[in-house]
Amino acid sequence: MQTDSLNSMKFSPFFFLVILLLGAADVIAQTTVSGKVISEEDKQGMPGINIIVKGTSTGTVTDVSGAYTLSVPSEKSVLIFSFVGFETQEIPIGNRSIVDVVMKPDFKQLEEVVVTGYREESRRGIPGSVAVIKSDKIQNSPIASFDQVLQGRVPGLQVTSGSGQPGAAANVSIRGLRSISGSSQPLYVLDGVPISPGVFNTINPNDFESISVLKDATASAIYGSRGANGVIVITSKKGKAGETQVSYNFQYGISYAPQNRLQVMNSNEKIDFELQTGGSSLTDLTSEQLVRLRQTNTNWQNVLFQTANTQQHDLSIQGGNDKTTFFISGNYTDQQGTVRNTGLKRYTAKFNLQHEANHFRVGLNSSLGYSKNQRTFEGNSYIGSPLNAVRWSNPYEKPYDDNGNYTKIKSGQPNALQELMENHQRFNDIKAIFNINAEYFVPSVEGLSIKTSWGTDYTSRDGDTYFDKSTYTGQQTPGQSGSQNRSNSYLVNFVGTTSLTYRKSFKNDHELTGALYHELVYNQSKGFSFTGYGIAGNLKNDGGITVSDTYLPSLGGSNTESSLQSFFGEFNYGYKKRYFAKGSVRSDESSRFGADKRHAMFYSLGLNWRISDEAFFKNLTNKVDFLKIYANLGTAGNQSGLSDFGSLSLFGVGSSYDGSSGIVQIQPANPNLGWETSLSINAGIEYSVLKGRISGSIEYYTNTTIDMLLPSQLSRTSGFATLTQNVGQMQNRGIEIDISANIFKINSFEWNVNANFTYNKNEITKLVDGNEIVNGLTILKVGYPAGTNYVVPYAGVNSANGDALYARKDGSLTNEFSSNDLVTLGTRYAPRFGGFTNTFSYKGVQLSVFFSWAQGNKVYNNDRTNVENPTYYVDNLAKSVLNAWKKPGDITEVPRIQTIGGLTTNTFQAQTSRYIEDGSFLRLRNVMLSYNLPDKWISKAKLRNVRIYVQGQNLWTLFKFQGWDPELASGTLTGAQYPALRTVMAGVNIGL
Amino acid sequence: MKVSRYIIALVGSIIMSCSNFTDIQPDHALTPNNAFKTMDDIELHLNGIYSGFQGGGYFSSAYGTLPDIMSDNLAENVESLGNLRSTADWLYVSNDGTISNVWATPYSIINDCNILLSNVDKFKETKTGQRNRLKGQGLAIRALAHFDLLRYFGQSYDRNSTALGVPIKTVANLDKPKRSTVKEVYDQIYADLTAAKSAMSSMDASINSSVDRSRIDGIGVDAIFARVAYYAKDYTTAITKATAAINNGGQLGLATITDFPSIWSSEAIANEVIWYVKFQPGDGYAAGDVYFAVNDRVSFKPSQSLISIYNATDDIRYKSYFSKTTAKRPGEMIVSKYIGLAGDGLVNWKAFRMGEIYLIRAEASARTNGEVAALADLNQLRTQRIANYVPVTLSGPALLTAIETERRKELFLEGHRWFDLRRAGLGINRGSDCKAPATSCALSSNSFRYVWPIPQDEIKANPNIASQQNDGY
Repeated sequence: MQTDSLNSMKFSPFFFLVILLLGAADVIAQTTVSGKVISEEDKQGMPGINIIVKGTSTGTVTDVSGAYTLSVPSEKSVLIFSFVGFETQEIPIGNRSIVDVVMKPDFKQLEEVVVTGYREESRRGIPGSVAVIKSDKIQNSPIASFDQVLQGRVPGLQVTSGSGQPGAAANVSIRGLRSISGSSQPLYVLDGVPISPGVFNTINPNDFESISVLKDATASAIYGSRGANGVIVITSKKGKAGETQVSYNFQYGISYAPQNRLQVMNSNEKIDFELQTGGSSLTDLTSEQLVRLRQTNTNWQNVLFQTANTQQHDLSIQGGNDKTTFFISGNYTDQQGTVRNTGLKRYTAKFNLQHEANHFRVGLNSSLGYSKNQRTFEGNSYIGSPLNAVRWSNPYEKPYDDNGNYTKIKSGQPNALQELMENHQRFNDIKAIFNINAEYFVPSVEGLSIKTSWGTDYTSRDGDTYFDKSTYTGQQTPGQSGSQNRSNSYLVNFVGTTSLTYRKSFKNDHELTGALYHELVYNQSKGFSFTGYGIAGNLKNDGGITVSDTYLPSLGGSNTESSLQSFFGEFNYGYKKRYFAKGSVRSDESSRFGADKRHAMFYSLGLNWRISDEAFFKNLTNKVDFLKIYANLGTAGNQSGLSDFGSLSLFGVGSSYDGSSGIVQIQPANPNLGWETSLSINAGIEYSVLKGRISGSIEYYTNTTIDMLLPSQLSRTSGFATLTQNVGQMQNRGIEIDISANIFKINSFEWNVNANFTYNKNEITKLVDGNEIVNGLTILKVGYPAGTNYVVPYAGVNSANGDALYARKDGSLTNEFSSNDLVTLGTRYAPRFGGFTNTFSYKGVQLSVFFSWAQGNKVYNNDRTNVENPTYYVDNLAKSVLNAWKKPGDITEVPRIQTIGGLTTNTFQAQTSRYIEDGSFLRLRNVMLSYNLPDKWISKAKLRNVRIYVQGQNLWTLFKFQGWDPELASGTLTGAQYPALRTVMAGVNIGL
Repeated sequence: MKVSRYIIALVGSIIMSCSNFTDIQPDHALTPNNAFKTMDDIELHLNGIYSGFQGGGYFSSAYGTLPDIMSDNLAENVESLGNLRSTADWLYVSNDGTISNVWATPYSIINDCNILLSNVDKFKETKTGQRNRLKGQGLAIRALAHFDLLRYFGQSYDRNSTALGVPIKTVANLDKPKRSTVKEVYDQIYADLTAAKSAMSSMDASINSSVDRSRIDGIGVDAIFARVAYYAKDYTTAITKATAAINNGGQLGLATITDFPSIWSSEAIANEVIWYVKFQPGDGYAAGDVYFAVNDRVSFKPSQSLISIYNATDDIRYKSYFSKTTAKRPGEMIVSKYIGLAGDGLVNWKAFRMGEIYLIRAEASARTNGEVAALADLNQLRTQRIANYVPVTLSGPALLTAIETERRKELFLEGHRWFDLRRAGLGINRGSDCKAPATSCALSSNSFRYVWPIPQDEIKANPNIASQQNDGY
């Protein structure tokens, strides 16, 4: 762990002392020692290292190049070199006048300083669970949205990719699903500024220094009514004092789509099927025409997909002196999608500056990004979505006719290629994140500082959706001549935090830190859009819009705001550096809360005991070098389930009639609406054994969401369907295990393993009025997890007559589908998940192999129902339909095909266990082989380091799900799946 | 001391600057504080209520095309996406999404009517009679919505039946009402219609004009009343109200053979339409479930049993409703009634028109010893529909059958057939029109499916209605 000089100042109280006493030291000096302190990791000089002469108050710090000079009393003196995150070294001077020192990172890694929300804290004192992902895990990932990169990295953090569309965000939850009506997305904070979740396509993850995942009460309670889902705190890179360092990274690669497990019929199969089934227009064709038709056999996946190119350039410059440091970076990323006509281009710039003078410290963190994203519809079952056509389009149809024009598909369905190529959905985003902060260390009161920090996250999105008049979707528009939608919206999050911090150590045994905060948070989302029709001429943009009675454009605007004002405080107390306590209290006043519930109060308390530092443990330290146990409890809130004006009776203007506008009630009043509270209890141990060769943690937690927001059903006679109320309760209980091991280290060869495992049991413990809530194919039921499937058990096919059979609750079989036989069947959210990394290194060569996995969920494949329902024979069907029952005695899982009318029983049913599939997967998430060129080569070229690498993302996945990809954001595949990209990249890092 | 000054300044600035920081009011939606301040706002509210009729839960599907889709007038075509199959083939159970929507939509309209009626007396009129004009329409719409609910969900249509009707809502609240009896629902509807008509007798301005009949006016109230009473078998009232609608002061009458096609093709009112629900670009489509003109998808075809009852050469309705010669589908018989002026399916929904009122009066007369009057109405209608028509003389069951057949011909795809079959106590037999993808071909006359189930979501939310589910579900 490297830390800049500012941090060391903050956490080494005697550093001040050292500076003050420097002058005095000169007076009594007898011998002079000088030298250079370098880091073992990068062999660079380390500025800001504390050096004191043992047993005295004499000392110094290294300069920007790591050099120092110090006068010492005698040759018998011993120098103590210390720096946070590094092993403290005691070196006798002897008769040397030059003492060079190599600082080694503290192998106990657990001594590091971590960012926990509003402050940095020594990991030593934290009575809870904070996981930190370092930049090397994020760096150079071939995925545009950084949240996707977090998958499998941290216990308790569940990341479900859901989509391979370039720039698409993932579904992220910490320690299980916490809310039904609201979001389970954690709060994201970048350099003190809360940033909008799910809008990460315009942020460059290479700028991140570390990501702290705050999971439990002591860490997240400080975020009050927004902290219940955990918090992801991102710290961007800051400059390091010393020589200016330039780093350039380039990588290039290709992506391709996997094969779909859901096989559809080929041309011959489909034509035969239609002819046998009857009712098809093919029955009108002559045998000659049929022969010709059979000659076409289009694989629609090949028509729509492509091998895509990705490239990335990343340049950063950093440096500074002991007063001022800076970090500047620029990045260009160009990622094509595996679906034609999709992709992301991104340009980002970053500038971070820190300066300290006298008693002040000021900082600026800024990043600016611009991205151009082109997407296609996904995750729906709309016939106009090209990705659905991969399965639905008949193989005997061609995308182009003999003249090179788009074919009109006989079934009346759209030509998918035409939809994909002639229409477009683009959005250009600008994202600016700024934070300025200033801190004043009150000189007359040691340990007292005042800090104020003001920041904003601004995202503007320029949307452009064009439907060409030649396409199906373009004809679904007023006037049937295409449409052009343009929209512009911005999201702004604004935060101002002012704090007063006091640190004091007394009587050597007591360390106390207390802080009081005031915070203002304001969010606004504002936008407008218009859709014009009648796209005339050959213009394919808003220049071609016709405005007339036939082509009446539609226009709209929106604005919504929310604000939060909070007062909060926290304290850390340490006794004898072995016993620690931490607590916090926060009061939130939110504009979203109902009139009768304006204020919310949250608290936390945690205790931490470092057993391995106890005297009685001394005998064990050769086996167990570190052991800490801790426990904490607290509350945090979730207000994401509340819309900005959810408590008010609202009337909307917008239902126009007969050329003038109209007002209707759109929401009934709800004055009792409040936040959801999550009560969490957490206990765990951290350990390190065999001199750090094996280390890790084990934690147990329970989180109870009380006052859970649920859509309380209203009598529809009220004009409304539901009213959100704080009526439910849900619990997540789980265990998290994290282990790192150095398997062996022989000469230069080293093998390290890191693995993490999470088991989370989600259970609904209370619902409104004790009722079950059936929500389509899932049910909320007390005693069952959220996302429980609710289907009729499918019991195969009656071999005598081909009827589909269903199991009744009493175990008997029936051919009648009845909603009375619906049963619960597994949950859509994986209860077990994790990741493991094997890292092999030999001299400059490093191979890292990272797997992520999730297990134990049951997902619903709606996509498959659409190609296994034989009444949809107008479109292509799954190959499995060919195995349908045909004659008495046939043993098959596919019921008979009903060819004619007159059958009112045993029709195709989708809400059955036939479409529940295992969602488990094991994925080779990333494999990277890298080589650091030897110093002797690169030093001639005056380079600091050169690293070349190849990496593969998602190269291999083990799963059973009948589709492209088992990762489904909401545990169901509606349709139009955009599979995760498989990417192979080669790159080079050059440092100078 | 220096430090304490800093702290005081800090704390002071915080408290000073932020005392109303969290008091944010919506600026793109209205609250009860600013939604209704003058009578003009009530006008806007009424307009919003009318727009509710455009949705799938009302005239664009539920009370528009669905009653014909469920009958023997239409046959599902292979191009259908099957979204209405559960209703088209009578396979519905209580959790059917379509039915759920058809239950909820009229109540949503009723809720806004109730808010409007509670506000309409609060503000000063711009001109005397404005209040009556708004109140009259609010009452009429509330009555119509209750009646339409009764048509699908009520256990009986008889005026004084004590069988279960639907819950009555006259106050906007979140209560959980039980079902009232059919009689109680009719009592409320009769009262609302009577009050509506009375209010409309003294207004500041007329509701409709010679070029715009997009709202319910006095003639509309009479027409609604005639239909309600006709369902209730209160034939005396039906005749009175139908006569009032027909003798409307000379504004409206039956369209002539020459004018009749223009009702459908060019949106001309042709003196025939009493109330249409206006559809403009962006409002959706009135009859999209059957033939999607925009993307040329035939989901339902006219049945042979229907086509065969028309005189193809002389009956203007045949030519106005069906076509074999549309540009996109030459040679294929499709429903062209709602293709609209531009051929894109954008067309107003004719909720009430004179043809129906004549047939209501004819049947009501025939059933109350007024066969002469009945025959006169029937012949008058036919004269305006069939070229070279020679008036006939009919009586007894033959006359009633003729009126029923005429209703089927005249009112095809205007939201009647399913209810007419139910009222007549007939079953449905689709016969040779029943082909794939349809899966059900016949419904017996006494099938419980003629009364729709109370939706499951209502049953779950409303304990007072839980024991009042209709039979069979």
